[in-house]
Amino acid sequence: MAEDRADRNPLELRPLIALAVLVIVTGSVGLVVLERSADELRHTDLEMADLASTAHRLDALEWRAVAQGGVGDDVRRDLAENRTRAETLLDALSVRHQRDASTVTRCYAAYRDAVDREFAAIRNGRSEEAAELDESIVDPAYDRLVARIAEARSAMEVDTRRLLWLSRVGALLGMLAASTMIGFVTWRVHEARRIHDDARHEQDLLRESNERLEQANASLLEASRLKSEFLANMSHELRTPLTSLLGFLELLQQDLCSSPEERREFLHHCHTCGHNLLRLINDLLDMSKIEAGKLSLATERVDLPEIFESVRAMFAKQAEENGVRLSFEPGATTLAARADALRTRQVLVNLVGNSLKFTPHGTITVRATPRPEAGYVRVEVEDTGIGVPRDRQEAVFDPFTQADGSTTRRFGGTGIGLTITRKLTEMMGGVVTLESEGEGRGTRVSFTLPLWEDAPMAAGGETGVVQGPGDGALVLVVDDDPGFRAWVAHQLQHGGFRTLFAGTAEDGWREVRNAKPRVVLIDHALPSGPDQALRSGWDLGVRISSEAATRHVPFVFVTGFDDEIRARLASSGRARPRGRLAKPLDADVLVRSIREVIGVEVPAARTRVLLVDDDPAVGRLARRLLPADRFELECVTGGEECLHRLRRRPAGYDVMLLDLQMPGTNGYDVLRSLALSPRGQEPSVIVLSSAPEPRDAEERHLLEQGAVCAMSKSELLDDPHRLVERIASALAATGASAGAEPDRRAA
Amino acid sequence: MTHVLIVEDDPQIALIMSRLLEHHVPCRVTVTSCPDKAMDVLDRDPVAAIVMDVSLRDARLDGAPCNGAQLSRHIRRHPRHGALPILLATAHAMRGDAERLLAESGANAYVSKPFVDSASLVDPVRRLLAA
Repeated sequence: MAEDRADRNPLELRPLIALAVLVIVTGSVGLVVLERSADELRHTDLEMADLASTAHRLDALEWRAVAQGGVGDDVRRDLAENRTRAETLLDALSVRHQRDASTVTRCYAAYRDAVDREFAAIRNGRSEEAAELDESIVDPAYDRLVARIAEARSAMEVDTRRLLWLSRVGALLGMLAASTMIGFVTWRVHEARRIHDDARHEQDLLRESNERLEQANASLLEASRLKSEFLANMSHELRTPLTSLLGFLELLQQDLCSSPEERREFLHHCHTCGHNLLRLINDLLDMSKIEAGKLSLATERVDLPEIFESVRAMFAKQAEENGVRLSFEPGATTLAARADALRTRQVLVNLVGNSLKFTPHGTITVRATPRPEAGYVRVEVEDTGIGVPRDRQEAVFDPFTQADGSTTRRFGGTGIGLTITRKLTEMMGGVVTLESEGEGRGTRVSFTLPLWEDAPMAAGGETGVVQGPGDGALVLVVDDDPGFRAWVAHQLQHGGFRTLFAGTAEDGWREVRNAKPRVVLIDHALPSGPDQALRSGWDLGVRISSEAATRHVPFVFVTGFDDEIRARLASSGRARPRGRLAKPLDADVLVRSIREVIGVEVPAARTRVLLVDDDPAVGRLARRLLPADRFELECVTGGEECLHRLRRRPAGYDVMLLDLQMPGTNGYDVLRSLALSPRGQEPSVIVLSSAPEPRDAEERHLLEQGAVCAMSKSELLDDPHRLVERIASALAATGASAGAEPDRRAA
Repeated sequence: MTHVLIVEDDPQIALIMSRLLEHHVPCRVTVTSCPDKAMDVLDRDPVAAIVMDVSLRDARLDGAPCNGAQLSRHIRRHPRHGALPILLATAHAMRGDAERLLAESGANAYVSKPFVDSASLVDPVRRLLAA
């Protein structure tokens, strides 16, 4: 529509412009005509003056002729010339100014006749007295002529003046009309252009949104193409070991082996092919589990030297065959990470396997470097292989892509190894980075994991015994894991509670009735004997909820598989817990949740803020801005360190102030990792800078989903109260506040 | 004795195929994974048929990257070997792959990997040799 308007307006202007041109042209022509008339009048005026003087000269000549006593030939000629001239002038005058001309002509004729008569009288008389010209006859005629001429001249002067005046007014009016017209036209043109620009802007917006749609479409097509390519690739990769497997079995079946040794060799090949197939299938399953968000990980002590040794043993033979030196440097002998042991090994196997694949000769070094001050350990796999071109270094982590399309064919593989590696590492609280100086110059892939910290193992947790401060509320904990019980005992007693433990659902049910606890913590997945009525924590929960004597006893499910219990609670109303807690548990959350359930006054807690910025000055500034009695501020200067803090204290922070632009692991990487972490544990994120802008849709999505709001660093300086306000509104936006924290986990 | 050339980059699969062909066709078999060498063999030691893999890792013909389909196409255009019967034996077995690869390569027949049994490899080779 806007487009139509814009197109129509220039057309509407055309008649206006034509009109303006017409006015200017007619005005100019009129002015020219007026000027010319005035010019002619002036000219006539001059002629009249000439005529007057001619008449006068005639008079003088005749007088001279008379005085000389006769009219000579020369006088006659002069006389005739003068007369002819006067008549020509009169003719011209009658053409230009008829009204005055006729009077002047008449007067002139009268004057001429008078002179002629006198002349004739003089000639005929020839007397001395007659030589006297009768002035009384000639003079009045002459005077009348001169007066007439003067009259005509003054009339013409008036006319001339009027004409000039008219022409000036006309010119002025014309100019006025023309300039009005020009102004109007300019305004219309301007207006039209503005509308046109608006339309163009709208068109641009439309085009942009179209482009975005096209882009989205293209990326969908690209994703679909990659998936098909991946499927075809996968089919090929699965069929190849299967061909060997079935082929060797066929040879064995038909007894086409040349010797017993070959027979054994064939069997060995079958075995290897089966293993390769299994690896492929595992990769595929991992990938689909990760993509569906269904992969669960243990959090345990992972001894890196052990992992290193097992990976070394796995690849030693292959490395030797390839002529590659494989060296492992585990650092300290007691170095341990807080991660999932199986998955850690898988990550390392993936990386070393990759290095072997892409290193035809040279060295592969696997090295562990602890960073205790930052709470993590970095494991590097460095090779002297074919390297990765700089522009492909990020893409190799995307599913289904390798350094280039043809690499798949040259080096085999499923194209998801590094994707799995990255996802697993991030889920364990680490970060994967790839560095390569370029093609042919080797590659260094490193990943980090949180360092293991020995938890203070408190004594306690024995079942059937009430422990803790005498006036504390009694908490019954039903869990089969003695380690967990000991930890819970320590935390709860420290928090002012008495504790009582049971190891099975049956025991738990007995304690619920006998000891009358104020609150019960139930491990959702409890093992049970074969002939017990209560076979799980769920059954215990159902029993407590259904018996009249215990219906009022509040209980909380503790589970490592939050999704499962959520689904179960959604589909069945038989167990009515007061809340759920997810393992691994944070001590603060545990204590506060239980206080919440019991209704104990919760001491006003400080808002816990984690500031992540590579500039330490920002940390110092924030410390000044956030009053210590209301805020507990921790500052870290890098993304990696931030992720390790979060991993070490899940749900340990209410708010995170996050700088986006940091060397190494940047703010987007942190947001990406948060998106992977279990729901309800992540702090509200306030992004501390608007730069750098998100580079692609994924980063924009991260920003929109992961951050509550953004504020620039200059805002921090401008208004000292702004930061506190922003934190308050961020907490309000996510439905949490410092004092009501347990809601987020236990409600 | 009939001479058959196998172009295959996986040594285990090459071993399986040559063993099956040697025993069942029967024939003499030469194996190579390299297109340049395959052309050498054709010139030196006349063959009666070629069994060709499609994905040849890192394979080159006259310095240019070359897969089995491209090698077949090259042989089809060769003045002396243009009429050689070629069997494509490949693990590219998604729907449409057979038609596409046959059209690309100009080969005579196609068999997908893994082979269902020995006959699924041996029979097509026999047919090519008989034709």
